[in-house]
Amino acid sequence: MDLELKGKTAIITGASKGIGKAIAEVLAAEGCTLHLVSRTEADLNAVRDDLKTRFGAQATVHALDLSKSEDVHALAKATADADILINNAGAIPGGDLSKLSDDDIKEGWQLKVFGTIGLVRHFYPRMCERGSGVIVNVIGMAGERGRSAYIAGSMGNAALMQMTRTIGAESLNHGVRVLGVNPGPTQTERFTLLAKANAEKQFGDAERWRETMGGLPGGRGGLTEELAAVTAFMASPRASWVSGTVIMVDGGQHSRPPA
Amino acid sequence: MDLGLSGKSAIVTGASKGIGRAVAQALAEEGCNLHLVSRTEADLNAVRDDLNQRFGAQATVHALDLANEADVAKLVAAAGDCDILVNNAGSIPAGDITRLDNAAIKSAWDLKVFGFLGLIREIYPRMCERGNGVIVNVIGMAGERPRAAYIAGSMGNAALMQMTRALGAESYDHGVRVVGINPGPVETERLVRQAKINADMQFGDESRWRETHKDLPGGRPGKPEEMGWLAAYLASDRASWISGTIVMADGGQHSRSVRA
Repeated sequence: MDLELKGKTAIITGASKGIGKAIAEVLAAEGCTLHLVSRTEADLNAVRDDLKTRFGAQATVHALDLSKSEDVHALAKATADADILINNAGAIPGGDLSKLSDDDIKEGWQLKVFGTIGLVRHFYPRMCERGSGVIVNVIGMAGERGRSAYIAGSMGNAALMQMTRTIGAESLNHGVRVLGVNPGPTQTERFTLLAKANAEKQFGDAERWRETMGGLPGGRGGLTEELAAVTAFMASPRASWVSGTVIMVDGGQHSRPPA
Repeated sequence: MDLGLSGKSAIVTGASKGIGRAVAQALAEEGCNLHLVSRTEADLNAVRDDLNQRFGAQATVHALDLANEADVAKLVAAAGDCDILVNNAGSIPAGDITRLDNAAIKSAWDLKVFGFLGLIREIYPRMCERGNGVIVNVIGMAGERPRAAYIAGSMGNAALMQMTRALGAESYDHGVRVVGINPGPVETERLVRQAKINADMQFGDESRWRETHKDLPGGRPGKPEEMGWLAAYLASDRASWISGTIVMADGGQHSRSVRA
C-alpha cells in the first residue's frame, strides 16, 4: 500500500532509541524527511547516519530537553512547517501516592505531559491555519488501565489521552488529525534490561528473560517495529478518517478480565 | 508499506456495495484472493468482474443470506480456511424501544449480530488450530455513542464490540487477531438516499443533500475507501500487535462533547 508519505516532513521526539527510533526507521523507509529530537546529540547523530545509509533519508537532529519550555519553543521555530508531529518522548517514573509529593508528580509530568502540551500548543494552530497536518501521540496503556504503583504515569497518560480525544474531535474541521497510540509492554532495550534483572532474580539466569513474560499475549511484549508500523499508518493519508481516538496496541492484553 | 497481504485469502461479507465493496477493493489491490458474500448474485458478479479487470484479482462470489444458518454453513464449507474474515454485512433497522417489540429486535439482529457470530463460531476455532488468522468486524459508532431512536443498532453494535474485545483479548495466544472498526456516517448509496430524504424535508430540495452533513467533521461523512484502507491495514501483518480493540473511524465525531 502506498502510504503517500513520500516527501512529508515529520518531527519525532524521543527518537534516539526504543519506539521513537523504530518510528524514525519506518517513516524514513516511506520517504519522509525527518526532524529527530532527544537530549543526546551523539545518539541522534547515530540514528541520522543509519537512516541515511539504509534509506537515503534526510534527517536533522535537535538535541533538546523538551521538559524546558524554551527548548520546546526552539524546536517549534526550527521545524515550523512540519506535516507530521509524533509526540513520543518521555518516561514518567513509578511510585504510589504515598511516595510521590506534588512536586515529584509535576516533575514526572514535565517532559511527557507538559512537553507534549507545549508542542501541540505550537503546532496545532499552525497546522489548522495551513489546513493540513497530523499529530500522533504515543502515550501508554497505563492511561487506560492504571496501576497504583505507577500513579503519576497512569494519571499523566490519561490526561494525554483526553487531550488527544478532545482536540482530535474537532481538528478535522481544520483539515488536521490528532490521534494517539497506546503501547502496552514493549520490548525496548530498557524493557529487556528490566526483564533480564527479573530473570536473574527468578531463575538465577538473565538469559531466560523471555520466560518472565509468560502472562503476556503470545508470551511476549510488543516489538518496537509493531508500534512503529501502526504509528506510520495512522500518520499517513490512508488513515484520513481517524482522529480524536487512541488506538490500543498491546496484543489484546488491555481487554482481559481484571487481575 | 508492504502489508504482506499478497496471496492471502479473505472473506468479505456485504461485499456488493458500500463499505464492504471498498474493503474488497482495498484487499484486491493488495493481492488477496477474495470470497465475496451478499444476497444478490448480480451485484457480486459486477464487483468480482470489476476487481478482476482493475487489479487482476481472483474472487469467488457466494450469494447467501447469512441470517440463515444453512447459508452460513455453506460459506464455511466453501471458504472456512480463509486467512482473513471481514464481517461487514448487516444493517440494523432504526426504531426506539416503544416501537420495537422483542421479536422485532431479535429479527433486527439476525443478519448482523447472529450472522457475525455464526461465521466466527466456525472460523475462529479453525484459525486458532492453524495458529494464524485475522478477523475484522466492521461494527458501527452507535455501539459507542448510542441513540435512543436507533436502539436495536446501538445495543447490537455494543454486543459485537464486546465480543471483539473478549475474543481478541486472548486470541493472540493462538496466533489469531480479532479487531473491530467503528465507522461513523459513511457516504454509501444508502446514506445518500437518506440524506436526500432529509434534504427534501429540511430544504424542500433533495439536491442539497450535502448540506445536511455540515456538522460532521470537515463537513462531510467518511468515504467508503477510507474504511477500506483501514480494514486492509488492520487485516495485515503490519498490524500484528493490534487485537481485542475497536478502532474508531469517524473523523473524531464520537469524542465530541454531548449535544446541548
